[in-house]
Amino acid sequence: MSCLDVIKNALLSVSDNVGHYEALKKDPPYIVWAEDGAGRAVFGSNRKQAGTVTGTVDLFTNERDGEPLADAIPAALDRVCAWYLESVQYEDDTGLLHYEWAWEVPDGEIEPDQDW
Amino acid sequence: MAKLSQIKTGEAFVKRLDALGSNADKVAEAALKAGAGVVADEIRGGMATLPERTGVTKRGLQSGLGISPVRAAGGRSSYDVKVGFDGYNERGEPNMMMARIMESGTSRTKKHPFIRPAVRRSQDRAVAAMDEAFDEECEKIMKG
Repeated sequence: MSCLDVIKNALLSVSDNVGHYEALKKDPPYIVWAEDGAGRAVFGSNRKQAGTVTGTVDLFTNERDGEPLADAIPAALDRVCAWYLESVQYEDDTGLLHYEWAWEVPDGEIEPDQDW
Repeated sequence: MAKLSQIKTGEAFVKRLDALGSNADKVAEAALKAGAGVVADEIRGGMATLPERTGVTKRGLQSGLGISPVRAAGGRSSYDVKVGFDGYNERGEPNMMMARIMESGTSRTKKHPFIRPAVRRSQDRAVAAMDEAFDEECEKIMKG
């Protein structure tokens, strides 16, 4: 499984309204995720020995309090990657609450249920 | 048996060590400004990749990017400095808000992260610049 499939599958375990780069269905609550670059890397013997991929997960919801996905997403990410809550923003014009988490996973192929 | 080595120093050397301590603010400022400069330059470079229609947002971000004064906190037990956005663009929108919209996106605007990747790319160089500035300031003080 690729490192990005790990993120995708973690998010699909908590919702089926999950889009990669763009929203699948803009029907709140909905999730959008994307990779955005490489994290730290370790080099040796003139080649990359290990590295990571970084990205974000965005949740858009109408719920001001008690949105279940606001807890379910970090719990799902916790099982597969390092993450932190980047921001929580309220959109005045749409009334949506926007959660954003940043994540980082080792790059390359990952075995399912790999023990970190 | 352990041997105790005694280092004898003159009064002048001790005075220089004192000077180092009493100039901690100056040393910290030099080091933090050096590191912040590296990060700010990387963020500025990353802005070139932002999409534009009229260019108003981009021009606002370019003019609004800056480095805060170095601040001592906790009774001078730590120092911090911020790289961020200030002011307003030509449409009167806060540059800080537009930076957040670009970085994180909204339900209506696709995200274009440029701050987090820039910080990640420049982290090692920023630390190296801070080390170098720190060493330079210490050397100036120690030479008297």
